[in-house]
Amino acid sequence: MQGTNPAVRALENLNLKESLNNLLTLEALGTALKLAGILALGLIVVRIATGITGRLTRKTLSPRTSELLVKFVRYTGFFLVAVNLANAAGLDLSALLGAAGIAGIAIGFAAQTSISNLISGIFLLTEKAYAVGDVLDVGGGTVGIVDSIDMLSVKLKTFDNRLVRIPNETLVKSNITNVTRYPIRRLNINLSITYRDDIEKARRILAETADSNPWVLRNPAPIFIVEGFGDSGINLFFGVWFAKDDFVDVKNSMHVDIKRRFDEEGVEFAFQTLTVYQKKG
Amino acid sequence: MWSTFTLSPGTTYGIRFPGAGIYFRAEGVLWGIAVEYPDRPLRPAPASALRNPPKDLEWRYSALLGAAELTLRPALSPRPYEVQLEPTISILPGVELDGYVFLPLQAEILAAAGTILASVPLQRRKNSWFGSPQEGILCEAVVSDFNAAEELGRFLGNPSPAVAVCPVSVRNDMAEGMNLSRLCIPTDILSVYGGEGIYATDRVLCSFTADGVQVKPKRGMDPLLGRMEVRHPARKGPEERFFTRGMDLLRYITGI
Repeated sequence: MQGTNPAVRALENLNLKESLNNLLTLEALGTALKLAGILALGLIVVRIATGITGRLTRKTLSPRTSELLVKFVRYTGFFLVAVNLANAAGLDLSALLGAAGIAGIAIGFAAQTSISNLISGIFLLTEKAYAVGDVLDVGGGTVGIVDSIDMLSVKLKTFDNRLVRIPNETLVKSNITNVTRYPIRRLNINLSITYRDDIEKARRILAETADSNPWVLRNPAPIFIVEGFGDSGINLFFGVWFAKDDFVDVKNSMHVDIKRRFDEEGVEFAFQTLTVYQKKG
Repeated sequence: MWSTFTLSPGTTYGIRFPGAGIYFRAEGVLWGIAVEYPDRPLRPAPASALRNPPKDLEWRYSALLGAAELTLRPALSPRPYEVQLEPTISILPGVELDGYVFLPLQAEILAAAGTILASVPLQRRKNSWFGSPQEGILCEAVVSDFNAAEELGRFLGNPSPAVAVCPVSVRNDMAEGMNLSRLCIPTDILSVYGGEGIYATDRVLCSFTADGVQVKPKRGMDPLLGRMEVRHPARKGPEERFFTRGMDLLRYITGI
């Protein structure tokens, strides 16, 4: 049975000892040691570089930007270590780089949107127009709290508990209103009283309502503007300032209080009216 | 008014300050506190058991074991006070003005072991903002005259248990005169002193310079206020406070 199978015969002819000797030449051992050295040293350098980057940026930049920079340094370091390893192993990098260039162009075309989002994200990060926890109004339609700022998108948590993912590219092109950027805000109340009512009386009631409301700030003072004579009544604007966290309390209490005081003092809200004249005969 | 008293279980107690009524009740391990802000000023009255307490109170309960006493301690609001001075005062360059403003106290309610159960403002709160709409400090709004020593005498003759006298020195270190209409007084650097029904704080030194307003406390009692004991120590050391840098906010504050 011995030596009948060609594969078994080939194995018998193979001199394992000789092959092993060829592999374990001094030159090969040297190369292996060199590669191990580059790998170890490279990883240590990358670790130190990421550590320094993290420490330097943690205090000066936002956590998100700092993390992004650390990741950038880490992956760049890994890439450089890999290139050095390949070089030390005697691989011809020119062909690899050429192939990488072509692949890069192909990937670039394919990932055009993603790269656009990535670059937009970097611009948005440098602008510092918002941070996690801010309330954003994007394009006058989507309103929510910034849940996370990622490489390609920003995720908003809406007030009815939905998660909205907005690509960074869209954010760059849209008007973003950061509702909670500043510590105080103004509540704008537009109302209309009938032509029979006294504007000064309405002004006094509004001022008293603001003064008695604990959430309305005394300074900056409330603003009262007579906006003009409308079709149905006199249009008034009343703006009161409040600390941004008190939005719901102020909005509810001010509207309730104004309605109650107007009712008590006999000031009427104007509503759409149409006067019809009937021609006789 | 500001004292320690024992609660008997199931009984409701009330203390009246001019701007607020405070109610207490112990029910087993639960200790309830309620506050009422009347539309008209109340006549001050010390703690006493109430037969018919108001029915529409909103009680807040804390669970306490092994306590039988409550202590009321005068304290300042944790927020700075924004004192609106009426009328506005003009201070010429290089002039230092000494006076007194009145700050509302709040009641710190402590259990026997020193646990703070609640801090209750003794009048309806009103917030205000000191600074620009983009940057500043949320304060408690206070309206006060800038009283001279003679006017202080009238207050000392009939002091309010819910108000602390705050001695203030304002110095204009700018090259031009200034109109002082508002002051921001930080409360964490001020101690509250008390004695014979009068409450006071450390003197506040405000220095207006071209860079902004520098505020620091001057420890110790004002000689006009007599001898007093510390009732509530300052929360922070006597470090200086810069409320603003640059002329914009200064103009905003002073109206120059």
